[in-house]
Amino acid sequence: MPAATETVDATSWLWSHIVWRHWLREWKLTIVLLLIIALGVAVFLSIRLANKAAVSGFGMFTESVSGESDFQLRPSAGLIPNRSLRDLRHRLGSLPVGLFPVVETTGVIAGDDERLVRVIGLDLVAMQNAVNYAGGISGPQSNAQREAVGPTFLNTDTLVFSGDAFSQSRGISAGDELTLLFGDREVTVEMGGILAENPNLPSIPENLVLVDLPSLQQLTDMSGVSRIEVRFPEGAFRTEVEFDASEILDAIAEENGWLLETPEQRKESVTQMSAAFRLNLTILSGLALLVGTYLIMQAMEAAVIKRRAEMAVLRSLGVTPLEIRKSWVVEGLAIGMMGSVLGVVIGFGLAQGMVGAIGRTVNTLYYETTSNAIRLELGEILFSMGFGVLASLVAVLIPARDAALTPPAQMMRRGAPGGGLLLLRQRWLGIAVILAGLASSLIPPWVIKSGPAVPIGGYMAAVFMVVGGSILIGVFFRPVSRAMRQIGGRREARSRYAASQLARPAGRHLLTAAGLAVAIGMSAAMGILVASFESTLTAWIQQILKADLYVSGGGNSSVDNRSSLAFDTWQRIEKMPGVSGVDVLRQYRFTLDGKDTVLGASDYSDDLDRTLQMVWLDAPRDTSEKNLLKLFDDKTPAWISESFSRRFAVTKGDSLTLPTPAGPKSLSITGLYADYGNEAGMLVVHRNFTRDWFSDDSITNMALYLEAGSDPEELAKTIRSTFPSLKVQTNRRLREDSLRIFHQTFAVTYALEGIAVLIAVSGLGLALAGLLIERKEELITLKSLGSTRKEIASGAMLEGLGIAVVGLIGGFLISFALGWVLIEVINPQSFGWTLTYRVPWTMFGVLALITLVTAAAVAYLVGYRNAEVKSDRED
Amino acid sequence: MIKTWIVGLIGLLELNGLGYAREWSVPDATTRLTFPRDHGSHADFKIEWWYVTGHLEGKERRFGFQATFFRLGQRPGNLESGSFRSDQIFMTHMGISDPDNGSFLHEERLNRDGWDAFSSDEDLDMRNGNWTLKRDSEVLRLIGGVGADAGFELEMKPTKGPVIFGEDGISRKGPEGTAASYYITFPRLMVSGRLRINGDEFSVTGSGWMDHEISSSQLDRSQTGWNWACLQFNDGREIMGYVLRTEDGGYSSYSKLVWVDGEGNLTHQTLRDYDWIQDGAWISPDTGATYPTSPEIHPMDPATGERRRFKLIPTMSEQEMAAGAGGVTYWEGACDILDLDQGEVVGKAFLEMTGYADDIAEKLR
Repeated sequence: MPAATETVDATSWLWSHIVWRHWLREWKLTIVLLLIIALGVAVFLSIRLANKAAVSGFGMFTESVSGESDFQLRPSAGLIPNRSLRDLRHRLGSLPVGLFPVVETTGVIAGDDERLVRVIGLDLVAMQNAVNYAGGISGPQSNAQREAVGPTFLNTDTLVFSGDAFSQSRGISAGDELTLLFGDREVTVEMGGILAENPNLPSIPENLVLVDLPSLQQLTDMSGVSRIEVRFPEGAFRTEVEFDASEILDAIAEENGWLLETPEQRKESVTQMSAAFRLNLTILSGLALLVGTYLIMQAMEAAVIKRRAEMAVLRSLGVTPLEIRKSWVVEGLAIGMMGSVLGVVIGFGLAQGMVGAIGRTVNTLYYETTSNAIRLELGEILFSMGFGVLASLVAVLIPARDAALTPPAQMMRRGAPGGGLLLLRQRWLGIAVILAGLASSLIPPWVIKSGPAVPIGGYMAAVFMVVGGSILIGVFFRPVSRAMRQIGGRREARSRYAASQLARPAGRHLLTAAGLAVAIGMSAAMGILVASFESTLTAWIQQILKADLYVSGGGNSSVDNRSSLAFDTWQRIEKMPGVSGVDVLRQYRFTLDGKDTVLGASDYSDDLDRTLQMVWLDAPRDTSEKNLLKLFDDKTPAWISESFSRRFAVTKGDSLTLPTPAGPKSLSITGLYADYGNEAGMLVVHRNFTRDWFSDDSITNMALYLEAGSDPEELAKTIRSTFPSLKVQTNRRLREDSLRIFHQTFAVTYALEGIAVLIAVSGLGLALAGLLIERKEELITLKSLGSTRKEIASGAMLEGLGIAVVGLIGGFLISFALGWVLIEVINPQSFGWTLTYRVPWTMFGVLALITLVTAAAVAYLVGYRNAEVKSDRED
Repeated sequence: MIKTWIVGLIGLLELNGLGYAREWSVPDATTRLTFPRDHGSHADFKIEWWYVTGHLEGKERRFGFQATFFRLGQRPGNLESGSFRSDQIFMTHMGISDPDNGSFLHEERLNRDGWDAFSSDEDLDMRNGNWTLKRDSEVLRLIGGVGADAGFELEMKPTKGPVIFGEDGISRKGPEGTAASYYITFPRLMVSGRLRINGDEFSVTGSGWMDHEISSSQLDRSQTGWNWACLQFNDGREIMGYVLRTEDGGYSSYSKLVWVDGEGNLTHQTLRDYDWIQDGAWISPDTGATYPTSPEIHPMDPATGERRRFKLIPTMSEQEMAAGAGGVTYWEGACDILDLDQGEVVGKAFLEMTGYADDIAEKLR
């Protein structure tokens, strides 16, 4: 029989006779271990799935009613004027190309909170052709079918249509009237019908309302279209049509400053914006798994120690160290596999709950999207499972080596320290790893082809800090032990016992404390990030929100909100009694170098005092730079936000070319300011210029300054009663709103932190249980010396508390370093925001208290249970 | 399905329900048509169509084509301007038969009046997407196709006409004054151009026919559909003839057959002078409708005063225009004319049969 087979046989023999029996006997421990892996895998998988689902809804608004296009033609900024459409058709000559103009805007339904609805205008007559190309396969339709669907729309401007989800969630059915608010416009429309779902197309989003295109243009006073969907018909010479038409369309796009993109390109360029956010979430979710790895290592190490006698016997029976090692690795893999399978099931469930939270964040920060149903993809499952199995494998490697190294002569003594965990006693290694972390924080970010910047160095630094910190954890045991001895006094037996255990920490102690420190370190570091963010944001809001009232169109504060206030409206508000001054801002979305961003048109420099409200990072210096009204070097002066500067790699003193409906314009950047409200970046020019470029006098929002003695609440009431569709917020309300949105975006992060701490504390219980089982003889001795069960339990509690304190100290120290990496390296590189470092002491206190209380409770319970030993019982 | 709701939305052909009928113009015998203006569009009338069919040959292959531009008025008159109008809708049908390959391609396209579809009210000049039909001094130019499977660019030179059917210049379809049309025809067009179909390209020549009908109501209430044909004989003469089928299974007395001689002179005949015998039974796999695709037409020949016996033989059976969103299904196909007495083919024809798959009268009244 060949040697290889022999080995396999020995391994499988070991597996079936020893390993399996062990895990069955220790079934409770097995379940906990499986759950830890499962939870880690579940969190990781659910974040990935929820991320995908949260952004997959983007760009499918027209797709879901008319199928996917081959190209989209859209302007870099503004609209494609209606008059260009006929020219476009002429240029394409006899080529059979389907052109489907789309008008897209947002609105709010009166009485429907502030939920934005995406209002799509399609030419409902021409839309028939989108589904009618394939020669000869158009099927028959009975008159009855036709009549069942509803009335004609051609002679009314006020019919809207929606999918079933919209109608269900708002209780609106065909024939009902509803009031749509478009900025300062309020229109009453009738639900003309519910669009039937087509199984071959993405489902119709819950926030989609469809209107016949000319009606929507009329309702919103637009004289152009947002984009044109281009489709090539099926057929024998489709490729030639595509080739010829693309050439013509390219030329037209070039001439007009439009963009010709495939839907995939478009989707990619938009979802790219939130890529950094999603990447960060994914990496955070890996945290739960990392903490899990420490716990698996801990449990495996415990099993090794416990079964050392077995190993010794096996060795003396002639089983080679390699075979023993293999058996342990297989064991780790099996547990990893089972836990991962369980994790996939839990993760799928978790994802359902998480997608909403992520979707809201993406909506608020980046672009309006609709969350799609979670789809369990094989690739994602395998990826997450692989991650879980890998974590188990890493965790089992050192214990397996220890097990294999058990010498046959070493008889029956349990609890001897494992060799592998000696790594945790290598101070120099910990220091070296931390130094490596510092070095890697200097690595510049990795930029994915004009996409998001990935702070590789930052992440490496973070991992090094965490690992290095956990290696150095041992140094805290001696001081903690000493402190405990002092606090408890010399006569207190329990604290003396606990302190003596802590003074000579076993590998198990080190591992437990390290796991706890990692979890607490990462959670606390996130706390530092959030606190720094919040204090920076609050200071910024204080600085910029100086006006008394803020007026905008309805709807939530999504950057995608497209409502506007017509000239007459805001002029009337400006002239209301009590108003002493206004700042207005018009926002336009535009595309520069293939990336979406925002152009802000303001009246700021009419009053230079108010200009100073901006938080400058590189301020305009002399008066000519401060004046947005006058050309600077013959170019339009512009200020840019920090995010804009980072995304387009420009800064004060640079020039750039802005695409506008009136042709490209040269701008000169005269200032760089901080803006934490908009990650897409913003470019600010004076409204005098955009008025001409966009032929537009409307605004997006306005800030009102009141005369001394005027009551903002009173004026708000007056504005609301004159223009019921407008959103009027007082200064205080807007501040609260901003912070609420801010916290909303961190909702998922908070949940992740909680899970990590939960895992770590349960690991503490697991470790204590293992320690006490090992010390059975000692416990028996203690009992025979008269210690009560309660006393033993309190001793365990004190020991647990000691470990927790070590974990907390290490964890907080790790968090300071990690927080620094997050704020100074990762955040500026991936988001482009400068934050001031702030430690949330209250949160730290709460975290410490929760950890200590839970650790004490878990340790006491474990001690109490394990104290139930009978002197005659043999293991 | 998506189409269902779209079809429902458009309610396109429920025209009589809109309540504008009284305001639509009705053909009037005292009006003299003037050209080229009357080749153009007439927004006061509810229904108007420009219908071109023909027979093409190239590389010893034979093809039939149809290109019909319908203008469906939603409200009488040119009420709106702009890129997306709702007062006029254009529906265009394209069909190409390739009997050698047994393939019949067709496509329907709907567009509102505006940037992508329009029709001049000064001359023959219209567009629906990339499909166009326009007069260019002495010739008519037609660009059409079906998806990316077929495309043609044809130059069509009228050899006579236009002729205007109806003894008083009005083609009447029923006793109600409204059931009438102006019916303008180029009975013979010399066609040449290019045709791409199913991956091949052909230089083609052939003959064509073009109708332009202007009305506000085409059928009488008791009528259920029609069988219509245009016959082009090798001797240089043509026939335009139809029977209007009534609910009782017979033919309306308003059925007509008109001979056009070499100079474009017309001889109008009623059912007293011709028989139309339904024959053939092709069942459409798409709609289940049964079409009599090989009718016999027995008219009195005005040149000799004798009865002739013609039978139309379709180049292929499957030439049904199954309804798209526009909702009208009919059979429209290229045929040969077999002279039953002489036993030989004496010309080419296009045959049209409506009201077999659905109630056409409901839509065109």
